[in-house]
Amino acid sequence: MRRLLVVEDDARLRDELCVLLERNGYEAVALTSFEDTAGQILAAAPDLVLLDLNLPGVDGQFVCREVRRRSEVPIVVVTSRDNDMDELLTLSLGADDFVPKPYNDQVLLAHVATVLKRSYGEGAAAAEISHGGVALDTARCRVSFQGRTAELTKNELRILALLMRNAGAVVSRQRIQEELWASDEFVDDNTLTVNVSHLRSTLAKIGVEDYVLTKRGMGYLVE
Amino acid sequence: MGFGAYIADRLVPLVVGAVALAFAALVMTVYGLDAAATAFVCGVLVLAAAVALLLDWLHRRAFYQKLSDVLDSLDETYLATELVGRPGFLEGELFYDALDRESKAMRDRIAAARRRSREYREYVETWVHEIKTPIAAARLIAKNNPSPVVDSIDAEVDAIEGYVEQALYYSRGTSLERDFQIREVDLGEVVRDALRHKARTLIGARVVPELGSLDFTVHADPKWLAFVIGQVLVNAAKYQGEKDGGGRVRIWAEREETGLDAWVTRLAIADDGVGIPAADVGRVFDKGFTGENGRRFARSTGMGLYLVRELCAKMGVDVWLESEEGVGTTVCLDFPDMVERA
Repeated sequence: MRRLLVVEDDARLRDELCVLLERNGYEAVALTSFEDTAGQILAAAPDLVLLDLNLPGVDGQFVCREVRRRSEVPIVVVTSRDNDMDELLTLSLGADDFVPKPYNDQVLLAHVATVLKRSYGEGAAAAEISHGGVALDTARCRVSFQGRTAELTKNELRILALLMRNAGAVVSRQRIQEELWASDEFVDDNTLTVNVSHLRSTLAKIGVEDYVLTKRGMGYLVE
Repeated sequence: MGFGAYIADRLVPLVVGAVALAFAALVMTVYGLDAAATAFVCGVLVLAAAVALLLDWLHRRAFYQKLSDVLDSLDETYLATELVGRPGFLEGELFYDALDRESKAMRDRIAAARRRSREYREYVETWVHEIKTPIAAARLIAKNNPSPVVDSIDAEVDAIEGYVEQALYYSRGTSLERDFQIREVDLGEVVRDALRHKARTLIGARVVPELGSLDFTVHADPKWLAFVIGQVLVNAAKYQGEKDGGGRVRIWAEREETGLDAWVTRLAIADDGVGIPAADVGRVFDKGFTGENGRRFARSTGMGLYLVRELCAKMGVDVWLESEEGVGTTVCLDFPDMVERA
């Protein structure tokens, strides 16, 4: 499992970022003090750093340069300064990627996965998700249950992964649609229904029945 | 300043001089000076006066001519005294000094106003950046804890984010400074970016995009353009009206020859919403204009399309729309071709 270090001064945002990353198959650690930030980052030796540029008392760009001088660890800069100059400057300081705030969670995850793949090779970002005996291999688009395996389409994979990550909670249809739109699949309501029924029949082929439940008027649920 | 006007302005001293001259001639005649000598003296005096007047006129004319030329050539006329030298005659100097004081006061005021507006704009930028952190946190909390209640709060946060974004672009778009960068951008990429950005709003209104060919590059600022497209998409969602099965918004681009070696790349965004009443079509880009739709449908501030027009104008993009009530609205962005392409 890849270890991600979150460097963000807003406590609320930091906690939620860690929750998000952990739900998506990463190990998340965070800095809580910002003295010698660069030193702390290097000491933590993560696989990837998520770095906010606006830190109390230190200039994020300075931190970025310091870390880069002494380590090749991938750095994804997350910032609310969103003009072109900042973006250019940040990348020239050695950051690997730049995500403007307020980011869409899926967009952020996609950037992280891309940088991980680039730095550690294909499959580096692969997160295995499992729940109730069903295991999902997101890198290979495969789902397996009791030794039987089936291929999923990209949309089916995204839908199932979202439901499994939020197991126990009802996920609205809108929320699922948003997830698909975040990866440029601008599906409508009907297409979503078709995708879900395909997903169910694929799951049935490997012996998984009644895994994705419909909550009428609310959405879908994996218990 | 013509010579005639100049003479007319000096009518009183001239008349007084003429009367004095006539009186002097009378006295000379009474004292028995012969007529030729009297005529000679008078002639010399008249000639001297004429030469003096002519020289004075030329001198003044040079100054006033220069001043009026400078005023004509300047956009900021309050800078004129910087470019015209101080004249060499008393009235001119008094006038010049008064003008100079006035324009200095004006320049100071303008500098102060500029500074205030720049400071205010910097404050807005900072404020917008500050508020993005709590917005980002709120959205992550919503995403990490899905439930119907949290989802509807998330939709409200999305609306807040939209208004914050409008404020940012209002301050950028109306600023005196030119702080955007025109470069070559891939139209498809910007459109998809805007769609992802406004996903929540569109999905909430059950509006789905149908993408046609977007295989073009245009010259624009990518962030500004994404914002502009986003505003048009939000309108497509807002003015969708009630209908079964949700709405469509078709987005496509085409290239059109507008003259010899002159092309435009047109991005068209067509919704199938309620359309705009014919009486309102001409005014929808006006600041603060809400029109009939603004009153009948959800919260309209009259800012969206105004900002679209302002930002497009700054980028040199022509924006216009066609609309038919009950059929839909098509917004077109025309990008002029700046580079020759075979």
